[in-house]
Amino acid sequence: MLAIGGRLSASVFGFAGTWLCLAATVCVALGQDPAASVPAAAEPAANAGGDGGAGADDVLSLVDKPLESLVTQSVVTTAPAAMAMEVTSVTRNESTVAKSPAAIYVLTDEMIRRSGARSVPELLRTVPGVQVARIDSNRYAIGIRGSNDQFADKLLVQIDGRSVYTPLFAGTYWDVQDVLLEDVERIEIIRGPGATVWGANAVNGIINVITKSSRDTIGAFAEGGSGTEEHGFASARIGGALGDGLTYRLYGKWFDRDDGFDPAGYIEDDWTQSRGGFRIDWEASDCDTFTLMGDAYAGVSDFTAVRPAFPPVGGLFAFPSRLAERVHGGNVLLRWRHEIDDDSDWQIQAYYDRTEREHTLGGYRADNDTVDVDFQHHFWANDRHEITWGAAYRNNRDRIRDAPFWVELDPNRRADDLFSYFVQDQITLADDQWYLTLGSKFEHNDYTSFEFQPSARLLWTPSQRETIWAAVSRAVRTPARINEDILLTIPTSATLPVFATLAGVRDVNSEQLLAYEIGMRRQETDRWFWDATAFYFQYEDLFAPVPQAPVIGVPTFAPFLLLNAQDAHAYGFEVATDYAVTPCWKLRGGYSFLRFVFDSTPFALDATALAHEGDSPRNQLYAQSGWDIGADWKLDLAWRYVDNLPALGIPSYNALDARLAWEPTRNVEVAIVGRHLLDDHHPEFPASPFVGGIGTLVQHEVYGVLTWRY
Amino acid sequence: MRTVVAVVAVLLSMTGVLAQDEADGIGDAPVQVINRENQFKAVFLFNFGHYVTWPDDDAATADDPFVIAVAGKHDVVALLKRVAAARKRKGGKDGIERPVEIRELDPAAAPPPVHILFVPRTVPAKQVNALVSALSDSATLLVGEDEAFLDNGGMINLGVKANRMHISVSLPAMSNVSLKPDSSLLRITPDVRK
Repeated sequence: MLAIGGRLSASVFGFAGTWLCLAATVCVALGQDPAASVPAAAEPAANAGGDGGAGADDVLSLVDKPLESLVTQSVVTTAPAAMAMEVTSVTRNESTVAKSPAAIYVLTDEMIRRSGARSVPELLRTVPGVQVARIDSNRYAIGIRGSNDQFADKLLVQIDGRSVYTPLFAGTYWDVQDVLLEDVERIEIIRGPGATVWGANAVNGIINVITKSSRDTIGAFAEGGSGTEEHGFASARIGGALGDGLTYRLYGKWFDRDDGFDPAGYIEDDWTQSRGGFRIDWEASDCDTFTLMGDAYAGVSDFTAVRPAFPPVGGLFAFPSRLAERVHGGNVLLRWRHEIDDDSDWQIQAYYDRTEREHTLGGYRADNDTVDVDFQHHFWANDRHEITWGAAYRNNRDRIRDAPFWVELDPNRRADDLFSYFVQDQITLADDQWYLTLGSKFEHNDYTSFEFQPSARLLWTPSQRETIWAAVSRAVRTPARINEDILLTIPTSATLPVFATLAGVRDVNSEQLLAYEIGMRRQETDRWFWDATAFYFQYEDLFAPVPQAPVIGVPTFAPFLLLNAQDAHAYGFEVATDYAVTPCWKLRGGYSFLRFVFDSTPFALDATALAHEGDSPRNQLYAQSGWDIGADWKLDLAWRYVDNLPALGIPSYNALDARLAWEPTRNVEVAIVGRHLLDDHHPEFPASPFVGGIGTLVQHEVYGVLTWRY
Repeated sequence: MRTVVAVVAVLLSMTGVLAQDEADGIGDAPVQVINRENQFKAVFLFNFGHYVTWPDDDAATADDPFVIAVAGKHDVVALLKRVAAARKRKGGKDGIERPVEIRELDPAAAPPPVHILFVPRTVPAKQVNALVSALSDSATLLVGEDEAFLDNGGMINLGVKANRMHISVSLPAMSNVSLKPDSSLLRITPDVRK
């Protein structure tokens, strides 16, 4: 199914996948109920109560209670949903928000469905402490707690345990990170380092997209729509059971998005992509679960960039060119999870991921292959020490075709190995009250040889409704390919032969972070939950372009070297709150404050620039309302304020999104969505000067969508 | 910036209002409903070892396992195993000071003698009768979860009434095989058949 290796024919695959799924969907509709053929998988557990999650913990707390207390307690009880929400990103084991000593936020499937967002970046706009800014219709600058840029490199993004890190610049190409949003179980967002268990790159935060098991996506789904910016989109999924404990799903999706707004009117940055994939889950025994999944995609992410020209073309040394970027890729992942007993388990996972990007003009092309194998083992050493340890190996292999006199990498081919291991001990200091998590990750890489990333996290749960935590952790961002091997040539004028160059240097250090965090969350009442976090980050050896002596002539070059030349600190806080006014009307809100200050820098920045360091808004505020109007109608409103970015010349803005949905039957939903409704258009982030890209403005838009679930 | 401060102030003042308004919000809220019925049953099954005396208790050594069995599939098995594993870690704080073994039995087959046999309500009455007669000479504590269980020869029933655990005990059935309930167990039993 996956055409991996060489040029992928995923475009055909995506279209074919969508239509295949649609056809299968229709067959299912005309035939029998798919759930009827999967009694075991689709049925809920025969015995209410279950033994998972909080329930399993409950039995241990009940067993020591005196007999009298066992007959006076409520059998059916309730727990605050926000605190009981399951998360896995903090410790790599199943846990809950209440027991997480980290700033974690969870986007649930319902929040995703009701957001009206049509991509992962758009979903992240309402997460506290996350900065999402659109550069053009398909490029985003996404950061957590600062350091934001188109090539932001201090964030770990994972989709179902597969890192979507681009080894070229240690960041994420957001235009190709997509999933069928209907099949997402939740997105866990951690603000702050998670390097102790996840390794380099989990510096400022982690975004972990977790899709549903195919056991939970049995049946058919199809949606399609169109609007002022969404020229069209369609997606479909079919899922079913193949045998006892063996379930699958297949999906396909396609979209075509309009250009952003360009006042000059000549920039093209439309975005089209097709994608298809599958997932198979097999519960081979009570103890063994296998997951096999894969995706393939193909698309065009248009953009316009100012390219250098020497010798001059038509008397110009720089001119904007449309560079339709062709993107292809695919991945396949296999995971085997084995439960040794009720308290211990191990998991082994391997994946292969290929990405290809090619400019239609200029000749630039980058292909990357990643192979990753990861093992983890979790057990209780005794009744106080819950140990998790693991080891991983990753191989990245790339092949670059230079765009001469613009983007060049030397060497053109490079293979890097990464070997890492970690150990973590979750120590119960006092039952149900105090927990201490200690651990460290150790990495051997081809750039800086060895790195260690320890952390200590203390958690206090005075009650089931309250959590207080504090953490100290060290994280590093190891150098990426560009830090050593890139040579960029950047025009500084259209009419003069003056160019800046930016070059990587060998033997550089990792960027380091020492992070101090403290947080508290509380379920004040059954209806009202809040979470507050404060942090202080101390960065060392941040990369910066350091100016060198100019080379005067025709042309003239102003060279810069990419060196560990900056130290900085950042501090701030985030608050988030949920409030259920009635069962049908829920409010959610949040505020985040961020200050980023350079302590030393190679530039002679003036006072104004120093006052506005960083590329992230100092203040962000959002409020959401979700209202079920009767049984069939749903109205969701989301407002946000994003502070200005004075150093980048971006003014502050307010935005309002609205979604009105009508469910005439249980299977059908019709929705109309308006986004960025408070202005005609606004800028959010400029394109990176390093590649000469030109950004566009975000326009207001309206689209309609028809969804069918069976 | 002023706008932001103003909005934050409004939000904060709102949360103050909400705090008062919501001093004790109940129901109608985004809460997770947890049915702990099986958790309670597992805890009772595990703890009966403390509150019932077996005829061979005095002869048992620390190596003889105390066996709790479940006739058929039931979520309580995993919970019992979890408690047994935790207890083992804590060095046998179960009072029996013997290793606890959890077994899942086929309800249709002839049962081996065990200390406690839990009969889920999904086991048909015919099989329940067969189990009871097969164990009529064995000191096996028969525990069920169905109102008719004691009528069918069961000894202890774990029911739920008014959202509380409701225990029923049949003294004749227990004394037939020389099992003696502790007085503390009978104190919390509203329904004792003599």
